Amino acid sequence: MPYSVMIVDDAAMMRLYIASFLRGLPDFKVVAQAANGKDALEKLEANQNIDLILLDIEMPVMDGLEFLRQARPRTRAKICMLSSVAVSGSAVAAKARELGADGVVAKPSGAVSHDLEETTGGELATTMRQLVAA
Amino acid sequence: MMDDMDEIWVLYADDGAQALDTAEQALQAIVGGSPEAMADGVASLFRAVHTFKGNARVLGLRNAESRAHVTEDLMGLIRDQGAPWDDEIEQILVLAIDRLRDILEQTASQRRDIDESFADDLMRLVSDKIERIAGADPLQDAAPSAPDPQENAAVDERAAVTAYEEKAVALLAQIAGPLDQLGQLRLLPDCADDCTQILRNIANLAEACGYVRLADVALALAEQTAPVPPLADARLYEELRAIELSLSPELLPHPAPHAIYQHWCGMNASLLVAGLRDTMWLLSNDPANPARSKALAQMILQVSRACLHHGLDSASEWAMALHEVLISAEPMKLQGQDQPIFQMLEAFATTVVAMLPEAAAGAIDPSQQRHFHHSAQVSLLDDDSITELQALNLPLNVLLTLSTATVQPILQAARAGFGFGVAALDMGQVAVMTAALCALGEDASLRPVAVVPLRSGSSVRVQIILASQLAAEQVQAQFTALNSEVIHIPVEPLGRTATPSLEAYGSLDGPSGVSVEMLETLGDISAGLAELSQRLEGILHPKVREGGSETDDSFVNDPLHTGASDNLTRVVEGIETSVSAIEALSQRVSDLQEDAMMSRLRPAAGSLAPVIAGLGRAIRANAPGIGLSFVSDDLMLDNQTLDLIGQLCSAYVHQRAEHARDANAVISIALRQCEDRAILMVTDRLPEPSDAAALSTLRRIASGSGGRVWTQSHEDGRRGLVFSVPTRALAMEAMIMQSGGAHYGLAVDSMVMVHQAGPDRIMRRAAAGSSRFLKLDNGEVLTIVTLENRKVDQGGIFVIMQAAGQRRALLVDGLVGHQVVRLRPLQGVMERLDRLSGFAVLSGGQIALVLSPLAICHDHDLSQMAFLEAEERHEICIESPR
Repeated sequence: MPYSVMIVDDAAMMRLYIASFLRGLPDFKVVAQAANGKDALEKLEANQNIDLILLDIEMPVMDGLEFLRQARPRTRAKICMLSSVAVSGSAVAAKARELGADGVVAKPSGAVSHDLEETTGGELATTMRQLVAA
Repeated sequence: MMDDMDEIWVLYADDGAQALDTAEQALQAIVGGSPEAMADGVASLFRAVHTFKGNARVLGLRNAESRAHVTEDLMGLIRDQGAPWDDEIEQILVLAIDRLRDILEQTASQRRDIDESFADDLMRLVSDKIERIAGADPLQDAAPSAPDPQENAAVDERAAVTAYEEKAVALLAQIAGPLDQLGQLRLLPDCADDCTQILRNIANLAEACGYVRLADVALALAEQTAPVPPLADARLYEELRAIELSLSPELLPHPAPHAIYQHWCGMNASLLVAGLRDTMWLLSNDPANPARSKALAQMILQVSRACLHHGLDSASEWAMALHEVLISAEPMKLQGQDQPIFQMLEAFATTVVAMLPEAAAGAIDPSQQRHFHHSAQVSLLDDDSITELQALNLPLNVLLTLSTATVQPILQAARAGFGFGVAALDMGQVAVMTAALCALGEDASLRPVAVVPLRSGSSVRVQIILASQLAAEQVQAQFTALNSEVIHIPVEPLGRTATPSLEAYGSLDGPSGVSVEMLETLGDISAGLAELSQRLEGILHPKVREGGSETDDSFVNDPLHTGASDNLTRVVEGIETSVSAIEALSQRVSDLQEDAMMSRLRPAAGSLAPVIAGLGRAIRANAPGIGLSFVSDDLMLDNQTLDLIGQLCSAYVHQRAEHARDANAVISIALRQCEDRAILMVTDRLPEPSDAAALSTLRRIASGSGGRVWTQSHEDGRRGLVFSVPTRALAMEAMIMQSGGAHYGLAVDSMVMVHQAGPDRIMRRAAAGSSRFLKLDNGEVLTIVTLENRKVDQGGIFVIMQAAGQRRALLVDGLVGHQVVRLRPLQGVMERLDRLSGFAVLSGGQIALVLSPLAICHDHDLSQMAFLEAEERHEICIESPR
């Protein structure tokens, strides 16, 4: 049975992009998407069976850190912070870890060939698998 | 994925257009709006550009991404660093939005990136502006008009999270009691069933409030059998902490649940350290596993809290520093147990394990704590510095004892291209040490850049890290040639990019960093070097013979000896530098030592509460009719005194409960402070008083630590015992005063007021006697007390003090201010100074004598009561000395 994933990002293109990427991974299934932290909290309450949350930080209404603060104690789901650049040692990443993020990973950055899984999506896939297996 | 690409490109165009619309609206709001609108606008503009950049990045449109990225950087300077908004920025952003629209149109229609030269003008303008802003110094000062966007964002977020906070507060309020019970029960044997039930209750409460993770870990703990696995404890702690982090601090209950839980961690410290090692091993073999990395970070946090619980504050600090290093380390740095992080963790675990038994007994030597202090500092270094240090191949035991202060000159020398050698000197051999320092002063090719301590069993060695133009092996050889008695630690040569000039030595900082253990030896060395320096100075510049005649200075004036003279001058200068450095370091060490001593005091009420609670449960099993009450002053006491008080309470309560199993009564325990002693009062209404054997046992426990005990009966039928327990250290808030050039401290609790009085307020008996009295504005007459035999007739500043219902007027020269001091009781012959409670080291390093209000108020040649009675009877007349 595939793991349930929620994507939280204010950019519709990014949500579609990641959802599309995940369709290529048979062990994951996107069950919810949210455009900000508040929206994500509501969707999380409605669906307690989510296994993994991919979370953007820069969002309007409620940003990723505040979502993390509120959601972390209320869900068994693993929460993985999506970073625009590879900033796993940045202050924002450290703050996210302090608030209970289970992982930090750079957003996939594609090439025009769109051969994403082979180029940069691999890191995201690996991280997701490690998180749900832990 | 390929099936979705059309839709992704469409969304790229839509998202991008929407983001740029948002950016344009935000820009308009900023230009014409209020400061609040500006804050919102800046945040919104930043997010819009950020979205554009992220989308371009995902599609691999690197040139498009770079244009958005540079614009985002500019917005970041305004949003996060308070760079001031100006017309130029406005114009740049107008251009940026236009250019990004062009880029969006072109990339979305052609589905490929723009040329490298596209929108070059934007790149140049923005980069130039960023450079100028970054060069402005400092950004914050130049940005009064840039409001904090977080403030406005918080308004929206606050509305969204209020409901969640209410739930969290309700949950914490419900589980605080069960957690407290759990913490106390888990200290006792045979309470596993009770603990399981409490944990299940906590799990149910958590589940009902939606805190599923807490519910899971509580259930997991409930199903465990003893010994409790430390990681499970760690997870429960982390869940509690996560809930608390989701709340504003003012909403947290007191004590916060995680603080209750910290007590458990303390009790499980050994298990936690064992768990830490296991987790380290797992992680080192699988460094890319984030779950293991996180588990290790959790374990370190738990060990940190355990150390704190045991009074190992420096160890706790070190653990927190290691935690910081670990969570910011790249996964590959964690591969293999020979990585510095693991070596530091292992060294830490070893030291904690060695210290725990002593720590539990409250017998940790402050000098051992210092070992952690230095280590903690090196752990706080940033990644780059650690990488540079690794490249030097310094031995691990040297690496662990470096502080941030000592690392800097080493790195400075490394960056300048110097090679290194490390010489170890035994601090017990002053002569060798002195000779080695002299040799260094004589040799210009070796420059000590850091001095660090290294403990080896009971001996202490100093590691002198030498920077040199020479290769590392030549450094060793050179130093050996200078002094064959030092021990050398081989250091691999550092790859150099350039050979530094001799002048570069001048730019290096001098030796710094020294351990507490060296303090006394350093004093000897300092004195020895000063004497040596004087003798050499005498040789170089002889002035006067003992008989008073001029000396023959033909030796130094002889051209043949000019070289020798120069060498000697350098030796003297080197020695003088060393003496100054050692003196400065000694002072620093004294300060650190004082800090460490202060930090070992613990709140008495909190520390004894679990002991009393355990006693209560224990006696209820045998004597269900007997209850226990405990009250305490707000006291800070050292571990040894707390242990003694715990023993006395335990012995007394067990004796009384044994004596009257069927009685119904409450045993009252009260802990008070009386100057430098803790007063423990235990009373009850049980029918039989303590027998002689029981009293003898209690007296033996108390007197073993210099305490006293006496019986006490009350009019209401209660009887009991009073123990007077000397404290090794006690924190108190004191008013610091000056009198006769000396500093004195007086507990602020004893102070009534400060009164400035002229000669007309000073009274004396007309008949005889040396006593003087101060008449206050309200007519009250107080006996004047002076700290030296000084004249009081001219008046001055009086501190009105009170103890045991008596008041006195203490004449002082001036008040320095009040501060919390650590009161140290006087020992030996000094105990006879009965107007003093002890002494304290002030924050400025001075010594203050701490006055005993009780002794001063009781001990005077004429009590003011007698004076007032005499005045009332008109048996004596009062006159002003003037």
